[in-house]
Amino acid sequence: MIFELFAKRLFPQAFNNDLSELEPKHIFLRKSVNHLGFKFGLTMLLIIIFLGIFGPHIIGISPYEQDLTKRLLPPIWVEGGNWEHIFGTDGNGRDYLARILYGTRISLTIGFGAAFVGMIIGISLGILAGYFGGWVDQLVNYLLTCQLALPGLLLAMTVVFLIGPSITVVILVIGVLHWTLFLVVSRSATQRIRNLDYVLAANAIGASKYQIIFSDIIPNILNQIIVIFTLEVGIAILSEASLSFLGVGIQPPTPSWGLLIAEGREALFFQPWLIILPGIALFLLVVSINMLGDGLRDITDPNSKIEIKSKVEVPISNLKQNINSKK
Amino acid sequence: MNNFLEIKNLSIAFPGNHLVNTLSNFNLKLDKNGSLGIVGESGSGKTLSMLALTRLLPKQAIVSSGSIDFLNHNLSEIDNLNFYKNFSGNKISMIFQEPMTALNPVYTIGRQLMHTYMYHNKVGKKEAHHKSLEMLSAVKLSDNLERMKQYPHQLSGGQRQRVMIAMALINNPSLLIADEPTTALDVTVQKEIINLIQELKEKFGMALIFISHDLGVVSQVSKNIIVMKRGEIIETGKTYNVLNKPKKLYTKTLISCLKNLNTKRKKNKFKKNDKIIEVTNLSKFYKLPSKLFSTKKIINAVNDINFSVYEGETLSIIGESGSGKSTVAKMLNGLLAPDRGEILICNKDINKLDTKERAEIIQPVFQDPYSTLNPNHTIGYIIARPLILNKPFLPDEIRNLVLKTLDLVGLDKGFYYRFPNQLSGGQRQRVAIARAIILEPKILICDEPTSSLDVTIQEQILQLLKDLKQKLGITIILISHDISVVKYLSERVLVMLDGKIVESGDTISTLQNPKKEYTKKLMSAVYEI
Repeated sequence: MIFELFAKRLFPQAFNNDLSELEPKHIFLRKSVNHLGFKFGLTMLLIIIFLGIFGPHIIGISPYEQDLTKRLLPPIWVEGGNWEHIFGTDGNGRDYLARILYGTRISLTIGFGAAFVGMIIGISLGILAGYFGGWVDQLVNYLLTCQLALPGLLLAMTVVFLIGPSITVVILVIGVLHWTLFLVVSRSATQRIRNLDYVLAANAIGASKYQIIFSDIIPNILNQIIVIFTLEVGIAILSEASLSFLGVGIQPPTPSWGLLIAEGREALFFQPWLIILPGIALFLLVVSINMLGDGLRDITDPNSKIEIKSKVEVPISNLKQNINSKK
Repeated sequence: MNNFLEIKNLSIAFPGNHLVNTLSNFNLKLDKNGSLGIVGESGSGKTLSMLALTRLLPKQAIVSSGSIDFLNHNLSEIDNLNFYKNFSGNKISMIFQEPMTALNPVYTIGRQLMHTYMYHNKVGKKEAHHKSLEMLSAVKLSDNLERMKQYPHQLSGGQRQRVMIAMALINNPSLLIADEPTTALDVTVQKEIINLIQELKEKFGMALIFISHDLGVVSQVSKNIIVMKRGEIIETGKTYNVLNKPKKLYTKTLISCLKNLNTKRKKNKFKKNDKIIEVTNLSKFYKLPSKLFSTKKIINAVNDINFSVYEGETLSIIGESGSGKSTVAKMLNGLLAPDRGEILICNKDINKLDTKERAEIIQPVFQDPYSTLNPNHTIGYIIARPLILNKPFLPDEIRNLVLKTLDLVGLDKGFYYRFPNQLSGGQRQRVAIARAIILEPKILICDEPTSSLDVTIQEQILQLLKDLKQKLGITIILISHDISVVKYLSERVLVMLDGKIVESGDTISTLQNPKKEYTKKLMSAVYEI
């Protein structure tokens, strides 16, 4: 409801009754207003990002400040919790809420950063291989086989160990290790599109290879790429968790969700909230990104069947008559 | 209940926003040994009615009313198990449109035939084998012992359709339904298949229901005819009566469309202007990738052809699939480099032209309206793109030009922000033509521009091309397998077979008095009403 009011306030012209006058961006807006999953995912992701940026300032507690007299305090809803530390404290007496909020920043950065790095590598190689074929395709396939044959985590550990851990290094390493899905999907989609008539037509009207790739191929494989991207964000965050767990990811005392889970494992049976709380945060983030991605795919795909009808009375029947009479 | 087959008031609906009958009040009567043709455009419900009879309807379809009586059984009272065992495949058989996908590619022809027979009859393998051989010779396939061991991909389209017919008839059905059995085949093969179906119908004494969008073919095959539009029966009766004294407006337009295409036009007096295209010794080979222990195979797609095109004329290239006509089109457009020979356009070699320069001289229109437009671009952008790429115009100028061109191809300005998926096949083809003519090229290459459109739409598109030619003075090169389209539009014609030009000359005289064997065969395969 709020979403719809907002959209109508900002773009009143998108909610005309006459559908035939709508521009593509207005159709996009109308479709997104009617897509429940998209609205839910977007709202949740915005909340998480907001908390990541402003959360630590709002609660005003440092995530690094130790107080050994208040170690392993339970959260407020468990017996013995108090309002001073709403989510309790960890093994070193640091406030858990502050650590989770601060960790949001790092997990988001790593998730999106690594998926983005992987996407750039995967799509460029995939499109090159699919569009040009021949020896380019064989070379890329060779690279793919090499990558698939390498044990990812082991390689990541080695590289991080050699270079030395920092957020940038972790992002790059995870990104460089997660491009295979992007490659496979974009390569096969490009191969399919390359032979379609509209690519030939673009060639005939004088478009260069560069223009064909950016205007005809990328927009048409984007739907698949969005889905892979949302998957990869989740995978990247979990990879970071496993790297941190093994001690070569984010270095303590910097809080990241993966690291929090790793540190909490010792107390799994006695203070389970140390794992459950960052686990829930991770779950919410991955779910919201997936829903957002699914929604974006549905909305940007011109073939999708989401109705662009909104609560405003839209005379669809008139439109149909118009189209018929135009024939 | 004495009829062989009677369908009463059959209505089928699909769930949607509101229930709309996709097929409404369909009635049909058929005698034993009778024949019936159902004609209609795509989406008219002609296939749907037969799918209801054979219980092959899509799952979400709802049969909202109606009854089917077949051989004194009320089919709606028979449960599925009984139906599949005793009726479908046994008493009712169906031949589908695509012979490429109707056969299972991983089993041999023989195995598929034998299984069909053994499923309905309690016989051993030997007898089934014997029966299959018999059927293969009934459909006039040579070397039938060899054929039994072959896989579908080793057969040509016509041969596969013969196998499909053999499979449909192996259980001696009393009703054969043929759903566009020849649409995917070449004209000469089409004639053979239709003759075969008619012959077998007499031989086995079956009733035949023949579904087609082609009025000419249907009128040849069936005594009675049903004309359908948008799920309703428009007209029904004896074929001769319907064709010669149509009562309803729709039937009249359908027939006049066909007749318009087939009218014998006067010989066009055509001044031979300057040569705009000159093709000398053009050849193109395709190399098949070599396999282990076998030498490389080379296919001559186009083999040493010479012709020229004069400014302002329409030249047609006719031929069956695989004759190399589309390869010629692509080479003329510069989308494919020839292996030998050269193409001069306005005295310049096409392959040495800059792509932008080429774009302003020659433009293509493709066959498939569903893949010719990028689904992610709006119609406005699709038509504007040639201008954006080639001309230094301002956005406003471009928009005006696009609207003007939309008008020229008979589309409303409301289409500007539409996406291709919101358009029908004919409208898409109009957009493709608009995109091709916006740069005002001298030559338009139309590769089967109408072959995937309905007859009435086909006529509109051809009319549009004709108008554009008069208004803009474009030279058109038309590639087609359809004789009537060629007759309608073109002044000169080239007949191609296996990569070579067999015959060429003035359209009317070449097609009416063909000199070469192949052209004669091509012309005799045309059905006229």
